[in-house]
Amino acid sequence: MPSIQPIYRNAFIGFFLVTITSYILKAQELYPLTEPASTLPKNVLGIRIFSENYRDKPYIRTMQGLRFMYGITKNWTLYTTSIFSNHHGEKFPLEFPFHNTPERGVKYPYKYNGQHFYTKYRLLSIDKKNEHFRIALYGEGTIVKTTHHESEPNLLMGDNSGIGGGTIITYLKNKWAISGTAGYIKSFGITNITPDPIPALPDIPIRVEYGDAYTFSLSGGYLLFPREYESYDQTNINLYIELTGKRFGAGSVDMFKGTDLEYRLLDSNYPDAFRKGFFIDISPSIQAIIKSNLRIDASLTLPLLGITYAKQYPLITLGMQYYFYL
Amino acid sequence: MRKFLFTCLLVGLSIGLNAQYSNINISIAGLTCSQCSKSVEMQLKKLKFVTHVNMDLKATTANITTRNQVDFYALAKAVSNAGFSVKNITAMLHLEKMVAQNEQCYLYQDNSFWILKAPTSKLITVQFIGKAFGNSASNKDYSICQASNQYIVMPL
Repeated sequence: MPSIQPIYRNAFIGFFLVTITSYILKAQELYPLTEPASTLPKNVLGIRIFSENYRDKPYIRTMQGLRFMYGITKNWTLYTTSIFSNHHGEKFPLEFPFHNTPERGVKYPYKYNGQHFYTKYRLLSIDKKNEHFRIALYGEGTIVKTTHHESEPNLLMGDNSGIGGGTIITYLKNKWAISGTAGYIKSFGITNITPDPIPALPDIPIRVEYGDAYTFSLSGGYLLFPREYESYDQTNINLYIELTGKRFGAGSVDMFKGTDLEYRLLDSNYPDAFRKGFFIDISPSIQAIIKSNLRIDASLTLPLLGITYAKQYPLITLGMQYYFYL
Repeated sequence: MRKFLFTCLLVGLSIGLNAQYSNINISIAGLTCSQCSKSVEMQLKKLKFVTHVNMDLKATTANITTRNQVDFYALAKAVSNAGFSVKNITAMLHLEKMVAQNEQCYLYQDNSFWILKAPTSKLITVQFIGKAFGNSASNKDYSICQASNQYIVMPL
């Protein structure tokens, strides 16, 4: 467990960076990693390709999302994302979760994991001169078949199936803009197999349940260029700092699932990666918007409080997005 | 070729000379980026009666050029569909090209305009009044000035 003083120091630094950045500098809310309360304009089709990468020696773990977005009404937006990655094996590792969890340095196939669905409804929008305040509700769900090793659930990156929802609040006044999200993930388990320690014996069916999670984020942005908007052709350069965090429960593993030998593994022996946890990451980002449409983002994610075992730091996330006005 | 260009010029001039509305200006609240302004412009351009949209990114206003049949509620709805709000809509009304029902009520095609202060000239710049146009509507009943689209306007 980290000592108390660094925890509060790190948390203060992170919060300070987000708020002071947004307050002093000209605000932007087109966050690379989190969603603002604003929705897509009506009848706009958006396409986003994004990629999350980190080093897992000697390999690079990579995940790609291909997202289609549509503004059904001015208040209601739908997304669907196809998720591809080399994060997960076809079956659970030997002696899961006691031996080598999370499993590092193992080659996994790059494959289609499944589909993520997201909907956002803007409940409230108050627009004034140089000010707007918005509240939105969101819901999400993921259907994947992946042997995720850690108790921490993650829907967007396709680690496990589940549903979630929450609230987004975005407030902008003059040069100050801030956006926050609070949500919940209800994870679904997976029934798969793990090799028997005795090679001659058949694989063992197991049922893995993941923790549920409270999720939260706080984001601020800064318009670096241009100093004044004059034309759509001006390239916008934006800088962002985002805090993303999660508090999640422990997982559970049932061995010989569906047979007479079925039993639940004692959680007192679980490794840290399969226990309940809490972390906050900090992500500085840079973004270019070309001809007021094509968005290109690059983010670096580092630990601020605690760590996630589901990934390794630093994470590099790249994104590209374009709107079609139908 | 010269005949064709001359005909186009005549048609263009005649459209301008016959215009009932000109200098239509929409001031938009909540715009915080050029991509936001582009979204508003694209929604406005979808309207069949809009021929040109000139967005002022600094002032967050849109100056609209239109054909004769203008639906000002549709202009406000287009801004709303883009995800923003109308701060106000102003336009120049050419009253001599409309039908005067009385000194404060003017009609043209599907539109009726109740002018809150009796106009002193036939060419007036007005601000549209009502919730759709970013301000509170008057509680008075102006049903004597009827059409499919009823507008209450205040001369500026």
